[in-house]
Amino acid sequence: MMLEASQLQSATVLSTQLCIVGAGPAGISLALQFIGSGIDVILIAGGKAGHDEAAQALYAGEVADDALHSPLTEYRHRQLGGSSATWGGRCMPFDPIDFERRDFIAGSGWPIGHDDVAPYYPEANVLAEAGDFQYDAKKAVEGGMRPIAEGFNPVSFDNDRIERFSCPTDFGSRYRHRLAHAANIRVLLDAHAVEIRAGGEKVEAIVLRTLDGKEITVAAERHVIATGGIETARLLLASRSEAHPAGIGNAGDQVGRNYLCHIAGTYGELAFAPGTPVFHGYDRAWDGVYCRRRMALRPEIQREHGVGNVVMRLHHPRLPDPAHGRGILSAIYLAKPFISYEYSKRLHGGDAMTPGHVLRHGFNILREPFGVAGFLLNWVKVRTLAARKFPSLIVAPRNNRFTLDIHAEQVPNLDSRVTLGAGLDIFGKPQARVDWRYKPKDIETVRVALELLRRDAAATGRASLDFDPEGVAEAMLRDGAYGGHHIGTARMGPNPDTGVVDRECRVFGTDNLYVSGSAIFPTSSQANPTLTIVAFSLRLAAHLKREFLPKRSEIRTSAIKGAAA
Amino acid sequence: MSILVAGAGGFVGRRLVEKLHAEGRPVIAGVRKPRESFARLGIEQRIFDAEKPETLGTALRGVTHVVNCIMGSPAAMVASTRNLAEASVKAGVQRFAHFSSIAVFGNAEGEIGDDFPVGQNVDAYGQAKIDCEHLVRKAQQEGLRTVILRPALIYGPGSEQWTARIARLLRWSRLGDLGAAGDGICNLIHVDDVVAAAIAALDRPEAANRAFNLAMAEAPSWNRYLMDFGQALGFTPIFRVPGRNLRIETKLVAIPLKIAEIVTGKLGFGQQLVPDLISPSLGRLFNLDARYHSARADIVLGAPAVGYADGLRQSANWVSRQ
Repeated sequence: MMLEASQLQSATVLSTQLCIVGAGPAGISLALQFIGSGIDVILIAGGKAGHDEAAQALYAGEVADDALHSPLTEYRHRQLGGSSATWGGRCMPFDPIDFERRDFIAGSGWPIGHDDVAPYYPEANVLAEAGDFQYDAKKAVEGGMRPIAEGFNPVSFDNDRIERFSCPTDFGSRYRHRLAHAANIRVLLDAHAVEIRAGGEKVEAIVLRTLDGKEITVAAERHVIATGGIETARLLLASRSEAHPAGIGNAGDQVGRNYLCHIAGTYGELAFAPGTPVFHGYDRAWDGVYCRRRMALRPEIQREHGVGNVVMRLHHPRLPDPAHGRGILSAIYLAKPFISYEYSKRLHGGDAMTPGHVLRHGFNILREPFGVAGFLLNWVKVRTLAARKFPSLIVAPRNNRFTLDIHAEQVPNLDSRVTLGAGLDIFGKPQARVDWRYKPKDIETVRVALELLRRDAAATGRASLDFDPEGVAEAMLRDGAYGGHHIGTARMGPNPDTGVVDRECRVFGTDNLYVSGSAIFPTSSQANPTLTIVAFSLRLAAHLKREFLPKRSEIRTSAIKGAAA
Repeated sequence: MSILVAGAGGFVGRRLVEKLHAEGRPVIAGVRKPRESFARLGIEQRIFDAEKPETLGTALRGVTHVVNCIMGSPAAMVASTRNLAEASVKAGVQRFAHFSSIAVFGNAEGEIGDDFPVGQNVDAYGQAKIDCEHLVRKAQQEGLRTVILRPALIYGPGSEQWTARIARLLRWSRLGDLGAAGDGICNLIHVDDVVAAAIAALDRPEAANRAFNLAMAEAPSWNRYLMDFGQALGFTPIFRVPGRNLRIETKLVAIPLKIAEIVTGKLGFGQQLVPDLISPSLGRLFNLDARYHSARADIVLGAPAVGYADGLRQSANWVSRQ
């Protein structure tokens, strides 16, 4: 059932069994698991079914360094479906090494292992509409995926661990009808959580406000915060009270710390011998899902060199430099004003367009006008009109010289933080302040991976990598923290001194408050977070269902005892 | 024992006759036009049109068991069922198995068991099936021992509606992964399971005077069925059908196709000439959140034996041979 919060009377108190705050991939995936369960659920969406400026404005906040982090109203969507509205759709699971305690990475190690979440990945893949849970290049496509290049097997890397792409699925439009249809689920639209009310260890209610000034309270037996890496910290910190003077779950001063994104950028030049067939595009699995190879630094090599997790993809040359000579790249460069902020940021870089640049890009287009026109027509077919969209721009460079698209783990960092800023939103709730920071280790991971690839590529005799080790930091920080991946602000830990939630995602210091979403990830992996967010929601759903049925288990236990007697 | 299968020229009827014959049972095919294939097998055929009671006079001579598989327009089904049931009462038939449909439940959603109330927003077909059930029950009060079978969507070799037509729509990428439009449950039942249930309905004493849903357990979603079947047919990669395509199909394209279907039908052209249409009701079915349970049939008539994977493989093989 869908309810507009503004249609309710002010001071309405709704009671339910499970209250989920946040209707992005985490909250929606969680709510879906309760359809038909007999457990009454309220799912709170901090926005309307589509984009709404007034709701979006509630995301406004401060950023410590504009060069390192995007504004807080970007890469985030305050609406039903949350930021999946702008999702690129890239899916791959976390690796087992991501969960391990690694001596060379301070703050690494989860209180659970890969095996604890692995059972939930296949269903997460279905919900994310990324097809079968098959991430092996040899099996994802019948007969195996095409190799990057024959004989090109850099030994420190695994070329067979692929990424698969969602449609990309907007969880709001995709699952709205199922939520609206479910008798035991109430979706409260345009309801904005301003406080978690807890007198002690028991959370009593979530206080909501509407844009027209009403106050609504949802009192549940169990509450889940699923509002993303930034808002989760903001809501926990803003819920200060006598019982929780530093905010909820913050007795150990951990909330908002270890704010991680990914270290990413394009760099280096990987040159294959002219004429060598190189494939860096997509294969399609039987179910239509686009699959792509990546070069993943092997876990034993990460351990050997004491660096984090990292993947690299072959990439077209950077757009702004017209020297790439490709008309289509120039066309996309010149189309910058028509491309959304989220996508144009990394495509176009921060460089300003000069008339000379524009002219040279124009000549690139005129050099291959039919190639450009054909590409654009095909783009309309496979991207604009398609429901399952071709995931990204694939353009082969001239002369077989590729750049590398790098996506690396950012290591835990207590000083990289989301805190409460000085500003208030229209409800008087403090805005978030983001001070994203990185460590030398983050850059070192990329530099070491590049060094290894240079050595390994040369050993294959098929390609050579050229890059300047001194330039790695600048290349990786040119666009700042990778946008949209907000990780770690309510990290899972063994105790409240090093974490915010326990292994079941329950907030330390509370009985009945949980967090779902990438806020709970203690480490960031090489993987984009969405698939793992969904997997953890499924895991939390299974846990909550067990929690909601204590009586049945008691009955069973007593029955077993009775039978034994 | 002598079994008359009325409507033996139809999809289920034909398969039932062949199965009974293969088991060495005394089976008579009730048809409007004699069929070469039955004659070849040496199966007795009785020619009648159940809509015309006068043609039924000798059809039931010596018959102890009747299975009513007659399909047709709503009026034809109701008339045929009335005539056949009345004639069966008169002829002292021992058992009358009647094919109804889950269409009697209309657009009801949720968990639908054997005793779920019928009649919620039913279409003309569903209403005819309800009326037929009433007629069968009336005959039951007059002493006829009846069994009502309500199969879900019958798929498998020979199924025009849920196998062949779906395969054609998949081939043309008019169906595929439907996304939000295909979350409904695809309540399938394999034709061999339907045939087995019909035979059990004749044999088992405890089946008498009861109604049975026939559906597979753990039926897939429509998206799952369309994708799995597409894969089995080799129509890969499966096309993700944009929501707008399906809306255009059901709201615009279906209209001229329906008209063409009627016109070519009246003119006597083959139906194959007109492309398949995706009717608005079919579009709604793809999203119907209803799961039919066949608990009673599972116990009394035997649970379905053909697994989903097997059923898909058989279906795909049959389509490829066509």
